[in-house]
Amino acid sequence: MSDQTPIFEARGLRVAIEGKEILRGVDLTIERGQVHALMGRNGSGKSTLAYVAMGHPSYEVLGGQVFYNGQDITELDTDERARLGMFLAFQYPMAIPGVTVSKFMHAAIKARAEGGTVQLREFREKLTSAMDLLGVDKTFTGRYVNEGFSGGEKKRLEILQMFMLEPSFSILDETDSGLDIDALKTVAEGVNATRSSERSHLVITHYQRLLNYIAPDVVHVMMDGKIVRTGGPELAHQLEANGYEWLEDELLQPAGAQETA
Amino acid sequence: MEATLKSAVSADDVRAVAEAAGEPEWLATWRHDAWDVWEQTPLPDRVRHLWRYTDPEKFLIDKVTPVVPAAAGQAEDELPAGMQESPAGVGIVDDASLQTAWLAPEWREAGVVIADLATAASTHEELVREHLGRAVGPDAGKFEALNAALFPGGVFVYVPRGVAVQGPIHLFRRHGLDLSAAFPRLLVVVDEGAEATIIDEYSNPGDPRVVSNAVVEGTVLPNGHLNYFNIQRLGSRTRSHARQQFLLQRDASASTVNIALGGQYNKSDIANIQQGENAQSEMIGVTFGAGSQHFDTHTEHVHEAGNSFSDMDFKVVLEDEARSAYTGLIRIELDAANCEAYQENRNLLLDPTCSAQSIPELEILNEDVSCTHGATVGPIDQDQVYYLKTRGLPEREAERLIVEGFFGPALDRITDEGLRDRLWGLIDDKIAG
Repeated sequence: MSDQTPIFEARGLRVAIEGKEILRGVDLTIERGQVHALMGRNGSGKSTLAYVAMGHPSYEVLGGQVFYNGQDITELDTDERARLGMFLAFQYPMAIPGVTVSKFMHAAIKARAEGGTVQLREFREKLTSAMDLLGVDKTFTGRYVNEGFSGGEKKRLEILQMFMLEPSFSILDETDSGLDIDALKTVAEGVNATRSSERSHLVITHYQRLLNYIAPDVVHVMMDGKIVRTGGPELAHQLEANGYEWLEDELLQPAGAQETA
Repeated sequence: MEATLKSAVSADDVRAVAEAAGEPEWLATWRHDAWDVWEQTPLPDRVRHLWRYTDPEKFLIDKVTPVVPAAAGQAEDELPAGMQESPAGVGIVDDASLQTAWLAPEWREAGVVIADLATAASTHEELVREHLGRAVGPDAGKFEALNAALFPGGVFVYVPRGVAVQGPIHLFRRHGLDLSAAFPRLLVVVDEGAEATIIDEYSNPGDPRVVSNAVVEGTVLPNGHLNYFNIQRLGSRTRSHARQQFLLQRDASASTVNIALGGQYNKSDIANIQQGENAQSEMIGVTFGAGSQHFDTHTEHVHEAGNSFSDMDFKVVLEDEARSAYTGLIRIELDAANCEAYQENRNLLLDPTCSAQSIPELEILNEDVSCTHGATVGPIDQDQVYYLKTRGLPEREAERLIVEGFFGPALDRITDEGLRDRLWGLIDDKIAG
């Protein structure tokens, strides 16, 4: 596979849940080493795209395809996608009662490891250094996954996993979390620290605020189940200044009258 | 191993068991009285709620043979080979006889006893007479009466006053005779201020066809403490009726953990009775049913004295076509003021084809009480499964981790690492199978 192959691509993706069509033909291409931001109002389909990219069983793909690193993964099971190198940081991650963070991390790393074995010492060292980097308390590893965690702690655990699992492509679903500034900073630190020519990120957000801490290479805007505009970082600022109504008005105008974004 | 084979059980069997065990006259008389109770007691009425879920006829032994003990157990100086843990004591019951009774010298010198119960009826007559049948007597029920009449040797564990035994006393009850009836019995006496941990493990080597009728009873005297683990990994062709009850006197405490993995058709009654002021009971249950296994479990916490405490946490995981019925009673007697009693039963169903029922029962006669109960029955949370799958865990691994988490807090109470690992191994095997 050549390096020119996009890490992620959705082509004409149409998706329904409980018979209701949410994504109505999404085209999205993410190149290697890039950070893309996906913006849009609540209910525009952003989180659906995140879930369906990771093969959530409740969503029905009506048409189109999803590619990872050039491979058609539309039919792949969630865990297979993860083992290929995809990752989803949840907006509201699930609690797994009775399972410690340490045990959970070990199980996840083991699932990805060739032959299913992990050197315990290596694992511990890696976990410790990742926790140091994120400023996570040592007692964290002995707690049950997300049980009784504050919003900020949940976020840190998601980012800690992103560090540990070293995915090539991470989707961060931060749709509503613009209200919690600490959580936003944690996510931004995670993205910035893992940003490299080998790793790509798709950051989903409702507010522009998150993008004060992350400089995206590309910004997409989703409306009513479609990506309606793609541009550079300035697109996010325009949205912040003028609101989504501005874009709606623009889209309603005849093509010739549009300003260049 | 000698075994006497007959087509049906009779008073002759009671005589044969008593003679083979070489027990004193008083015990033989006690057995015959129990036999009379068995004969005079009708089969449990299935209209009564405690037998609503299980057919008592499954535990009749007309077609199988009770086993008569061969020889009484002997104390040995060496720790039996192959023990991975470091126990304070070991008792091995093969089929009907206590073949090995080993105690670390420290505890033997302190007066701790692991003995064949029928033998102890002579050697420790006063203790055995006082406590045998006190918690679970022949009048406790029809099958309890049959156990009293026919238990071949049984195990007696005694911890003297003020002795805190470090490390577990591990009992292995191995019954491998095909087409036979097993009557395991255990009597535990924890004397004043004494402490002990007992691991009581049941298995059926070779997976024979067995009807097992077990009684575990004991008394924890004032200020005594008992940790009791019951590990049921009976064979796939075993029907098991088990009755367990401990009496807790003033300031005594008991922590019991019942882990049920095996057996085909199981009914268990598990109770702790707070007889003395400030008695404390903690009861944990872990049941994992697969295939067509049937588990009917009843727990009781009875507060007879004031200021007593009980906490019950019973967890069930089922897969395939397995069934579970759980009923849990909290009873606070009229005179028992200022008690606390908590009960929780959670059921996790891995397949749509399994079924679980959960029925809490409260009989609160004294109003000065703090009491809660909760029950849940539900399938595995698919959002949890999805979350774990997004981290690369295959579905089976995700389920395994969720089950581990569900059982984990209960199994984490087992401080013996070797035993805990072995139990996780058994649970993992079941999930994989």
